[in-house]
Amino acid sequence: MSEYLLEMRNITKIFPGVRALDNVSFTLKKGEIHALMGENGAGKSTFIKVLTGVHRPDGGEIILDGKKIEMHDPLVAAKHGIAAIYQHLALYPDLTVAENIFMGHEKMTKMKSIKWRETNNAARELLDSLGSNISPTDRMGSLSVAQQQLVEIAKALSQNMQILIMDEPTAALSRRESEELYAIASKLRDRGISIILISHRFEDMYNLADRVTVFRDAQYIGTWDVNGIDNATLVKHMVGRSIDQFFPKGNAKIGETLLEVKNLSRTGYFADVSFKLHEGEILCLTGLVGAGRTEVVETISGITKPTGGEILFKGKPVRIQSPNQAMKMGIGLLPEDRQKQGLFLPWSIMDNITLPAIDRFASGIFRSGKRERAEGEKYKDALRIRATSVDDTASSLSGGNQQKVVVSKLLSGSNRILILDEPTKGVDVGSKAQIYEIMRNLTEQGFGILMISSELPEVINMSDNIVVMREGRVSTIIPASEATQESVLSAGMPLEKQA
Amino acid sequence: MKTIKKIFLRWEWLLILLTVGVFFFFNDLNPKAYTLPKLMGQTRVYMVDVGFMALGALLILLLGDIDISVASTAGLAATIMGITYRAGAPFWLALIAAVAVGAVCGLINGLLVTGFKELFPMIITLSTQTIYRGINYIILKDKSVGSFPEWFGNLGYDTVRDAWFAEEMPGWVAGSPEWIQWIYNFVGDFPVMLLCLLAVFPFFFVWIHKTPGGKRIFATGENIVTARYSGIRTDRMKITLFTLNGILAAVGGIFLAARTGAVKYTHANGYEMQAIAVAVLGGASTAGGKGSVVGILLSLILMTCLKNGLNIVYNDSFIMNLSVGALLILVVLLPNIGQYISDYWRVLKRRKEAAQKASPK
Repeated sequence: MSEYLLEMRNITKIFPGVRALDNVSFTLKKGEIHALMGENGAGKSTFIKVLTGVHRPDGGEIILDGKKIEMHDPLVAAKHGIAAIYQHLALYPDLTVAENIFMGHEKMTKMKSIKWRETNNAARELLDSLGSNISPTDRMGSLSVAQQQLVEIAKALSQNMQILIMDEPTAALSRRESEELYAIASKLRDRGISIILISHRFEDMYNLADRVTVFRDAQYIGTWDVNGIDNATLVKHMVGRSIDQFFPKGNAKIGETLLEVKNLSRTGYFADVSFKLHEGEILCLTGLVGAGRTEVVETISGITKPTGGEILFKGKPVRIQSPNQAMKMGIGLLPEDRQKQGLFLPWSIMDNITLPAIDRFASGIFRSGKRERAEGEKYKDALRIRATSVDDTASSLSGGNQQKVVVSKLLSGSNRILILDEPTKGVDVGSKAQIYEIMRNLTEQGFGILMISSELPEVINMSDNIVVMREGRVSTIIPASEATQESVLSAGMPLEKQA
Repeated sequence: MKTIKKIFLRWEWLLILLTVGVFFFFNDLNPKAYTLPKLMGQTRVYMVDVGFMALGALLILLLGDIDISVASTAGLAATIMGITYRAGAPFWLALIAAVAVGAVCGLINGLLVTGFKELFPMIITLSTQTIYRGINYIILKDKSVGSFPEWFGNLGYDTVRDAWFAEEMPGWVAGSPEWIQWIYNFVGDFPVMLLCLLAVFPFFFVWIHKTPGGKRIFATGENIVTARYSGIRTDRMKITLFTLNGILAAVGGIFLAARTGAVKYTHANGYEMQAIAVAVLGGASTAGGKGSVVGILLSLILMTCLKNGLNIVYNDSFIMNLSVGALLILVVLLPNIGQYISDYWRVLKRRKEAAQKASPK
């Protein structure tokens, strides 16, 4: 019997046009948490899909418990006790928690009717063992994302799971919820379950993992003990080069007030929000997910209408009724969900970038393909978008490069105020550093940037001033130079939870 | 290389290929009745009125919406034209009234679609369809309205030869080589109605494919949220295009009235589905963001060739409709099947390569 529960040797997977995995190896011990890291497009997701039987590998072998297995079907993976929870949960929102847990292996009588009491009791037990008090009869859709993840875990437990794969589990969670998830993961480990953790957050890895494996460009780079490798080396392995200055220093001059928000309110979402944004400033809006941050910037950029308060643009009160009007004033929004709100995925990079200001590239009434191409090329070079040409579709790009295309859209117009909603969410380390650099360059040119972020190191190192929101209201505004992770965190905590 | 491949993989080539195939098939079956000049005459029946509505359907499908009230709009517009003229107004005023009615019907659709986003445009226009048709019935009951000015009746039947050419072939043509005479006759066979339709196409082509405004229509249909976030006034665009669609429907209804000579409350019944079928066959996607003006034109020509051929051979409208339906679903499925096959080959090839690479060890 080897020391490993799972061994994957020389796995290769080929898709039309790309080699998604190239001779990749991976080992997993019983009862360990093993982090799998790498930039977007490194092959992590494909690897997981091979392990769960969604994709059939074109080469290599999978050895589970000392026996070679053919993993050609998701059902085989389930039979061997391999389960995965994804960032985008695959649940039935209109069914109850218990129904979701036992979906596909319902407890039934001989007449094929469901034994409800038994089902609910079993669900109750599973949830109890995870330390949760969710009711088995609650409707799935009424739960928070964190609770839904828990149900997914309970579902996996109900099928005698021995390996759990967590794909970006904390991406949609607040800090407190993340910590609860850490506790549950540790509990599962102590029960002897092995966990494969995929995350862009180093924090997740340091909090949980025993070992870490890095993939880069579809290849296996190495496996280390988490305690045996420092952060800089790890980042270097992930990116393939060293990043000296992760957070570039800014030396932009803070100028006149560009935008002022006074007692801005929208009933049911936020109230009495006031702050000022200056030329050359990066102002960060932070707080827990759901504190009303996105709603505030959506109101400023004309997507929704305020119910009270006012917005002053360069000292003059304005009413912004639509994104079109906001853009005419020079306010551009980088939305939270770049795929659904920021991009036309089947369109080319060039067409995406030029659309907001497309009239500028016309000669007479006709569009000019030449000028549009020139504009696309300009930003592809300036922002170092990694693609073979500006004709590549947006859907073919990695998350980081997609984000750079959305940033280009904002810059191609005549915006002076940029609102960036979670600009580095789901973006790999290399592109993250580049996005920070771009932000610094822009402030030096006099842009004002209003950024929403949940990542504390980013909040503290990138911004000049920090607006912390709590339950729809501004809790405090702190200059970044005086802020610490603890002070920002506690200012964002709901009041009744403090003590 | 890549661009050349792109040009040859265009949808339009398939339509041209099919049209040529259909033409020679029926021409072979029935060389006397199925000829180019006769087909040209049949464009009045199969191409012109549907053509205007198909252009409208393209606009709406580009947005990712659908409008099934256009036939009722066309009917109502023609009826208003008829009763305005009967009431003693000059005919130009009747025409303006008809177009205005079309615009109002379209505007109402646009306002409803943008005002009640939770309702499918299909449901909204399903109800306006019956409402517009209902109003039409209240106005006309089971009577018909007709006796339009003579020139309007002629519009429905005249060819270029009838309208503008001299009785006899002019001397300079008669004395020219044969191919010039052929062109002279070919142009002479054009129905005036068809010329009116063809005159509209260049404008639509330039607008949709060559101007920033056209690009914004594609953007809105591709992803309305991104479009709005990119500064496009999506509601205003939808209202405008629905209104324009209503106007095009009215124009289609007017040309149909020129051909039929009288308007009943069932005027243009069933044309909405024909228009959508033409647009989809022409490459428009019901999911929005895809379609082309050239595709519409080619699809209209193909439909004319096919329907006329079927009509001559079988003289049965049920067989005609059945065949058109079968063609539609076949052609629309074709790219999916093609994609499936090409993907399969590529993976197979790669696998072979990988196996060869691995084996020498």
